[in-house]
Amino acid sequence: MRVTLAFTIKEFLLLLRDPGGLFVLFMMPVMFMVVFSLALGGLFEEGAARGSARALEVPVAIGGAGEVAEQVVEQLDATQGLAMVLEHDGQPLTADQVAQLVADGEYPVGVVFPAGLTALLEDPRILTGEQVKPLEVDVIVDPATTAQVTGPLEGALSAVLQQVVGRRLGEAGAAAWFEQVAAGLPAEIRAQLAASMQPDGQDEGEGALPVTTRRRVPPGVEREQFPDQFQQNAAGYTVMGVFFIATVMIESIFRERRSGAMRRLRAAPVGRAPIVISKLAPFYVVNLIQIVIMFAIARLAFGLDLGFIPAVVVVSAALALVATGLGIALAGVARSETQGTGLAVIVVLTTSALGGVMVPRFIMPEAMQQIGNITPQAWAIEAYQDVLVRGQGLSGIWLEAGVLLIFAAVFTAVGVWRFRFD
Amino acid sequence: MLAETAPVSSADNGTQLRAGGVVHRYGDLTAVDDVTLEVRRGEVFGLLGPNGAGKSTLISICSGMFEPTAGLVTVGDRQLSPTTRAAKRRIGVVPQDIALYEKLSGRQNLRFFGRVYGLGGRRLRERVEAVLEVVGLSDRGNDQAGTYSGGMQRRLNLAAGLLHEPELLILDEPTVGVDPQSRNHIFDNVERLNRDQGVTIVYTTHYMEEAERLCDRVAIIDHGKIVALDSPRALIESLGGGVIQIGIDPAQRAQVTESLSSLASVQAVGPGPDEKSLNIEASSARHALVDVMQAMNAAALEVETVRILEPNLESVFLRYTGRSLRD
Repeated sequence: MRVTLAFTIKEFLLLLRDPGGLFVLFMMPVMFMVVFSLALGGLFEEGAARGSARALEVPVAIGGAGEVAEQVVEQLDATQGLAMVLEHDGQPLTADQVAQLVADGEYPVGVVFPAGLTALLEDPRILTGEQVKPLEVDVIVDPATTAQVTGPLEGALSAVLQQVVGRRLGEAGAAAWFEQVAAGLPAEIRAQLAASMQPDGQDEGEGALPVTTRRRVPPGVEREQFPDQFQQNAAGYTVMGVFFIATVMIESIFRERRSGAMRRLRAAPVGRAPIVISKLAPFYVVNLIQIVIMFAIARLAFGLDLGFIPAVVVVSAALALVATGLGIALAGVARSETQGTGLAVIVVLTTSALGGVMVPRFIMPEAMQQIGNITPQAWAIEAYQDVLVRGQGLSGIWLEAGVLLIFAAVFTAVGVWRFRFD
Repeated sequence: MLAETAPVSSADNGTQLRAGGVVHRYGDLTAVDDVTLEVRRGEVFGLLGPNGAGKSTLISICSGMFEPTAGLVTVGDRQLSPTTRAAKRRIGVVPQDIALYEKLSGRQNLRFFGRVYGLGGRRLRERVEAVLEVVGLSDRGNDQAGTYSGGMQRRLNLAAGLLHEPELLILDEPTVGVDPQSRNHIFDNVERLNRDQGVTIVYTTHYMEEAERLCDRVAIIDHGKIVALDSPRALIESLGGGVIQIGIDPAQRAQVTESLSSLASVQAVGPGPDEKSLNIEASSARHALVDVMQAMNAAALEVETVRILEPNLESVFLRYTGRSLRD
């Protein structure tokens, strides 16, 4: 009992000698709570204010679609969680502008109404039941967007179209029939009949409509195939997994320091840079293997289309450099192994959340999205999605790969600078 | 970035390692205080000091592990610093800690450290086998270092420092926690390396018998300063027939000194390691002790402590530092 107590006291004393480690220990849950609350607050809050950052903003081009499109937009705008954006720089949005905004990643989804929508519904051929070529309302979707985001909008759009168009057709069709059938009746009887024919809303929207919705990708995005949820997440979880190499590296470096081997190396005719670089190399290979395994599983088990393989290789090579660089930097900054691994978990999970690993960044408030831009995960995910989901080649990922290499260079430089032998 | 440096002197004056005016401070604490010493080529030089005396810091500086706050260290004709490659190549360091990778085999460890010192190919393989033979671990070379006994790990630790055939071997407490068999093995290795290959050795230890057996000269360091430096024999002889160290009331120091100086059996009375003690040198400390006690009683002077320092290195150490080497 006395021995156990002595060990317990000793462990407490050791913990107290490592205030940095304690700080990490206490801050980790706090950081998670704060970051996830900020990032995901909109998903859990009732009555998300329309037009606030939490509502899904949807750029809409009405163009020459007329009154029917305006009614649809008005109803969609009144729907909780949706905010229709009709103007850009003070001017009504055009179809091209909507497509470009989605292609640029400004919005995950947009809507373009076909010209002549209202006029079509007034076409006598429709009112008399003749076949006409239906019009299509385009839903412009970023292929990298999850179904959780586009699904509600598409559902709401279909429902509102059904309601508005159906009502419009019901009213117009009945009026035409009435004009034909009741033309010779006395005015008093016609008035009674007209009153009894007011639509009660029960039948509206039933039957095939001359307006449908169609999913499209923005111009310049080659992939027409829309990924499922797993395919969309493959990039995110690969990126997050790769960064966990940091914890393993920190453990390895501190274990080596403990062994005294670093002290011997300090007396050897080698500088810090070769030691640090040689420390990176094996973990870099481990990371690449990790990426290959992740994508192999995604490909073989879930049918992920890897797109242009050389582009995937370039992104993966840059990503692995960033992850190993982060490991060496954190090992240099941390004062103890406990502090280092705790810090790595905080940094990796926090930056992964901010970078869009767990939830798409566009559903985060604007400020969080901006912060996300300073995480390597955001750039890596964007690059992977460019290749895997949007079908881009090397020309589509050079910017992201370049930014990742800058991250890697900075992290590695910090690691070399802060590297300690004991 | 490591750099090659030009020789600091073209003359080979027989000095393998020289520390000149070396000072090292940790904040307000001066760990090494203006130390100057020379280790001659081909000698075994002992560095003795109690814990906290500055011994490890001085050894680290002399191994090129870090830069002193002030002063200069040279190995042969090359200045030594953490960034000088040529000087570092001349040194083999055997740290006090078992500086090995436990998960690797003995041979794998040696191959790694050999490569660090620029060995490769056939030369590396030959050197690995040679040093394993030297330390008597050839038959266990493929076993994980973590499975070795403490003594075997110490021997492998030594082997790693010998791989590149250094001119100067720095051994920092190489026998701590070692069984007698491994200790003797290490002693034999040190003697053979010095005798047969002419390797200069700097050896730190807590064990006086090791210093007496192995070292041509020893330096005693305390409070960051070298307080004595000579051959073990000369240092021991400086004690004459031994020393009686007595603890006294500092207020009676002058009276005690006067009373004892007149005794026939006492050769000299001098200050002890602190103000509360005196060193009394005698041709035979045991015989003089009776006279000393009688004189103190006669003068009604109080003796708080009495210690007889036999003429050996331990006593030399106690005389200069006031502490046992293992304190």
